[in-house]
Amino acid sequence: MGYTPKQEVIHSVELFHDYIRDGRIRLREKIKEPTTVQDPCNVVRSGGLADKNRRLAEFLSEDFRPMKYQGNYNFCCGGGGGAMPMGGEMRKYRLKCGKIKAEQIRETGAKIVFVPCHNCIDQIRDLSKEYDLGIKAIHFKEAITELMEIPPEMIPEED
Amino acid sequence: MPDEVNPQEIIGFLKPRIGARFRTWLKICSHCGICADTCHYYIANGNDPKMIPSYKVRFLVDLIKKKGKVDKEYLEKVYHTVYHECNMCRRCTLYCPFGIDIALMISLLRSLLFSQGLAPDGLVRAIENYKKFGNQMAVTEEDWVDTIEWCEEEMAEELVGLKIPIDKKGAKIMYTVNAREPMFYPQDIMEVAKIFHVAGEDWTVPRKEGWDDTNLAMFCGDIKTAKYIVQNTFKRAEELQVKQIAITE
Amino acid sequence: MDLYTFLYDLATGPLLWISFLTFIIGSLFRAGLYIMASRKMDKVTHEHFSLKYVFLGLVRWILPINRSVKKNPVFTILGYIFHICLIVVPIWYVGHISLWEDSRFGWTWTAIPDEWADYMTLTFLAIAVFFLLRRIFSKDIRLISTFSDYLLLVVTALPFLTGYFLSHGTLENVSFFGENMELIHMLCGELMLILIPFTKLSHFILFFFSRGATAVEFGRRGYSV
Repeated sequence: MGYTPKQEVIHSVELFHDYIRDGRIRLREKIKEPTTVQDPCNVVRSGGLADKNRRLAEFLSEDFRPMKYQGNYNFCCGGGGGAMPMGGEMRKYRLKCGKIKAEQIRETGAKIVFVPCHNCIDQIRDLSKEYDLGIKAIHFKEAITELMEIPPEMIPEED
Repeated sequence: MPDEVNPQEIIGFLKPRIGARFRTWLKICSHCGICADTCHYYIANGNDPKMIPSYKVRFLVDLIKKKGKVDKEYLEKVYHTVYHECNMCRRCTLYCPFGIDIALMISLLRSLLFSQGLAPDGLVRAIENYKKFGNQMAVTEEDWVDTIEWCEEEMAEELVGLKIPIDKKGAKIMYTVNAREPMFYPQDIMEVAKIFHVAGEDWTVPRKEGWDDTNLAMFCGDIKTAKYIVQNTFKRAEELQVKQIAITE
Repeated sequence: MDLYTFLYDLATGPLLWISFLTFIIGSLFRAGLYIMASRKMDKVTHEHFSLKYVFLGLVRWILPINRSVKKNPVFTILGYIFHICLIVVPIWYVGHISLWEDSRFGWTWTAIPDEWADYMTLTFLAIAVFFLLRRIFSKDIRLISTFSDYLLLVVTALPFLTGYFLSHGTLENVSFFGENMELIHMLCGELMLILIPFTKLSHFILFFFSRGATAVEFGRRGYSV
């Protein structure tokens, strides 16, 4: 945009991935239910985080099931490019084109879908209702906070 | 938008923006159709030929050929295609033998429509909010700080010593969120605070506008506002002398 | 001087020069225009330019080692064969080389065996017919096809068709064609050469720029396409 930033821009997925890889965050356990992960266009295709996105999902899961085309070649959820905030006028189109994503998710048999994008997560939750996927779409944050080891000194004392 | 479409305006808008890549793409696209079933709109609509990515940018060729002499109805047709039939996800580009970037051309068409006063209401509302409040959800600085402080209090009960540092100069990371988080999902802010705390991260959030990392102006081709939003964020980062700007999931 | 002699002299003289020069200068112009316009307007390509990604991208797409081949093996492999024949036959056909040798340049190089040239020409024509039928009968491709798509496919195939007729004397006993095949073949070839810089056929050179620009665009986002 004609502006050369001095600061590096880093996505949470990369941060979280590196925390776990480097042992700054330790996990007590992994998710047992089958999981898969969405590749949001902004994070993966346009953000270059395909590998870290997938590996983070694998760190957190015992039974990770990649979607067909997982990674850079994955399909858009249908909520991108401003489709979600467009609201009502876009709803019917995005639910229709989201059929592809819904089928991809169903194919994996996953019960938990990691979705590291606000747009995608709202769309995928809508898709789950529309196409009756019976899945739970969550951000990585949610899983990490539930699974991580809390250092003893940070655990509040019971009164 | 005005009923009359001014051809000079359209050509005047396109001409300085159609660079070497655009010109080449419009010229060499061989209409081979490889992009057809790379598009989720095409497949989800029962392989509808009208959803072929290459077909969706025909307007650009057309507008140049017609020297911008089109009517309002025509622009509305363009609107329908570039907003309701494309997420600008760039998947087609990965399969195109020439590497033609359809999404960039769709984006140019959206910009053109915006210059003609044609943009989705939802995005226009967000743009107004960005201009007034610096974020898409019209969260005031007071509400933002209140939310952060409330999140901090809540989480401090769970983790000893947890802080959400506001405007901490020289922190390593300035964390930015989607404006939907303080509005609808404060849980997200709490969770990230927990993760940063356990990981021992040196982080901060800015008090003033710039904390919203979404950029909906970009989607409807309002380059001026899009630039303003980005610069806001970098301005805060500059002031706080951070090394990295982290963006939320 | 009769019309035939006039046309023959034209096709082997001035028109031959005009078509080769149009092709060469026109293509250089296309390349030059691209570079100039891109310097001015596609700053992103130059700011993030990376030889590595450009090279990787070009190799991947010049050779059939890309995602599109995996996805549409039949169509893309036919496309590769089509292009190989299109380049190899006109340059390495013995009849053409002997013309170069007899010309004022006196250039010569090793030819491919005649049978190869024959098989490659027939393969090329078969694929061209397949592409044409695909354009006509696939409802997808029909919708996105423009008049010039059909025209240029025919223009590209004609030199091969007439070349085959000429070297095999196929239509020798047919009036008009029998006597004029050499002339027709030359005119078809010249028409194609002249059209290259002005039509989508210019992709023979612009391909490298387009591919390169996209390689840079995705390369700056951290991966190679």
